[in-house]
Amino acid sequence: MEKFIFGYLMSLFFISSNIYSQSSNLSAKEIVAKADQKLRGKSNKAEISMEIIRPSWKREMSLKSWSKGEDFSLVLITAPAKDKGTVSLKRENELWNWMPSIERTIKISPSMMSQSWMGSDFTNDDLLKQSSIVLDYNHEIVGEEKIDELDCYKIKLIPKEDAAVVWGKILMWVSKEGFHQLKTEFYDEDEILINRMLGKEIRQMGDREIITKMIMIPVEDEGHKTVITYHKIEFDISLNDNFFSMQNMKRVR
Amino acid sequence: MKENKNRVTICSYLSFTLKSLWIFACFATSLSLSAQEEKPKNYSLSGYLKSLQTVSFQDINGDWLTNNFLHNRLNFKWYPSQSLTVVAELRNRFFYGEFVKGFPQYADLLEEDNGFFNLSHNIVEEKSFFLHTILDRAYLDWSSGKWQVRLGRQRINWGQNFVWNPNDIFNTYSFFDFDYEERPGSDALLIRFYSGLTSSIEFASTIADNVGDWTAAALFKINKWEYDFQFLGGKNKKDLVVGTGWSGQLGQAGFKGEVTYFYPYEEQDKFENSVIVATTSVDYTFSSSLFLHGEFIFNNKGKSKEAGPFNVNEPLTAKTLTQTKFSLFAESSYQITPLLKSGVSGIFNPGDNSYFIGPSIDLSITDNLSLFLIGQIFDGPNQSLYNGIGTFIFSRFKWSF
Repeated sequence: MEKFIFGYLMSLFFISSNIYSQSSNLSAKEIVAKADQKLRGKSNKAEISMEIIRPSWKREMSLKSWSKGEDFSLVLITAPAKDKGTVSLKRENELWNWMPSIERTIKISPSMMSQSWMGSDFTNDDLLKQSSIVLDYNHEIVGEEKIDELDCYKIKLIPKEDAAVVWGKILMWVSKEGFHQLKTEFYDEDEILINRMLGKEIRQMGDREIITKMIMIPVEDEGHKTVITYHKIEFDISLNDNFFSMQNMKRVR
Repeated sequence: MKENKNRVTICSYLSFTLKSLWIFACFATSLSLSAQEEKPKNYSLSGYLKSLQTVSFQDINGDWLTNNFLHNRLNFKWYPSQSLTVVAELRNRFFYGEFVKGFPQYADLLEEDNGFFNLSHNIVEEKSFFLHTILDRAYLDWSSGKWQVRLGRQRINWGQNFVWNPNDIFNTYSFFDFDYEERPGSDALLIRFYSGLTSSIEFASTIADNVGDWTAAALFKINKWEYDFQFLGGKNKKDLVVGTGWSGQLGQAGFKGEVTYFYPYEEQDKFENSVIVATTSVDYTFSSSLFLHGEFIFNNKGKSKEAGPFNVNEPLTAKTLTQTKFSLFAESSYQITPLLKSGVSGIFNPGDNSYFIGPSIDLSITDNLSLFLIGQIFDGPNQSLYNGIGTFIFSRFKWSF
């Protein structure tokens, strides 16, 4: 079943979101929107690795990813060997996996999409709802703090009443310069801290400076973390809609 | 004399292996030289090494029979140009154990190649061991614009369900053969046209030396209302076939199905002897990772009672997926930890009350090494489908590269 979950990756960080602002909390919302937009672009192509770290073991996977707007994504697993060549294609609300060893395309059911993701510390809600940190929350600047020696806005996100989100509260530290999301804390409905996400290693990638390492740490479990590293990423590249086709899913490498 | 013969056979096998290794090394070197400037590389080599141990018995207190094999797979792909791909995949298995000794016909049975070309060979065959090799993929693939043409031994997979695939008329597989994920290939020509981003029309034909063995059919695939639909028609050996299949969703659950109608055009009573095989499946995954999956198969010519004995030797076809009229499949799996997955599957034949149970555990030891333990328990009343088959317990280490 793990393979089916790979498909999820596509919704990970690449879905571009529409930014529209409300009159209330305009500046806080704008800051979050800018940070959110930073990693997305109109389209992008990336090479990424993900490490799942536990006290007694570690697993790593690598992939190539292409995405365009909110609707189209393609992910190719390049490591480990047992999953190499598996491709996931997302077109609007539909998701397919291509399993080269058995020459078969498998359509992913909606419930398969909603399970925990690859045993990592990212919950599916973190991954799927990432694009909604702008739309599903009310934002408020609650202070200013330094993170890794950079001046940051500290922003509190409280979900809107009708929003289907799992978190009760999110605290986010966004650098004043560059709008890097350097630290994020996820709280449950009882305001207990569950996960802490750190953004590290700001580097020039393509036309912009971005965070190239994201570390998700479950607060309760000592020695547990998931590290996502961007090795290469190009933004706003030209990708035809044809790229995200059943045909290309079987050809991409 | 016997010992000498053994020595000669082993020596000749070693020399064969060394020779093939040498040829392969030269080939790989020349490729890597020619590939130096290209990115990504214009070839890939992957595969795995497995060690599978089997214990089988009728009664746990009775005699146990062991069967073991080392299993190596080599997948080689070469991309000489943008549009051309050359693929060769080799499956090598070294068998040893009591089963090999007890069933001398085992090696010969495996050596038989069901394809047009004979690409299966027992390199060495002795009383207690044998080494079998088969080239189960060997094809050229040419893709340009919206067209794709593939010629050679290939897998043409038209299935939609997970367990029973009546639409998969080119190379049907058995659910019980869990160690052959890639499944057999067929010697065929495939021409595919991608009419849209999620639709295609394809024509496939096997290579055969008589009409009765020949399969040729067309498949049309389309995506509509967030469902994948497919329609097929053609000839499958001694039947004319039409069929349809789908993959979609009912609410949050996956919903798949396949139906194929077989019309024996040569027979006297064509309509009476025509066969419909239909399957449908539903799957659901809970957020806890608990996966539930049920599948149902209907075969109008299947036996509604006493469907046994189970014929393991007859090659499986889309028409003979089950010997029963109805069968039910259910499966559940759960990720206990990120490294440990448990599952259990079962088949029940309501006509004769026979059943199959398959509990399993899959453990990831490192990124590329895993241990898989699975049981296959067959039982049922006298004359029923799974009566007298017994219990099989498998343990498998797999190292992928």
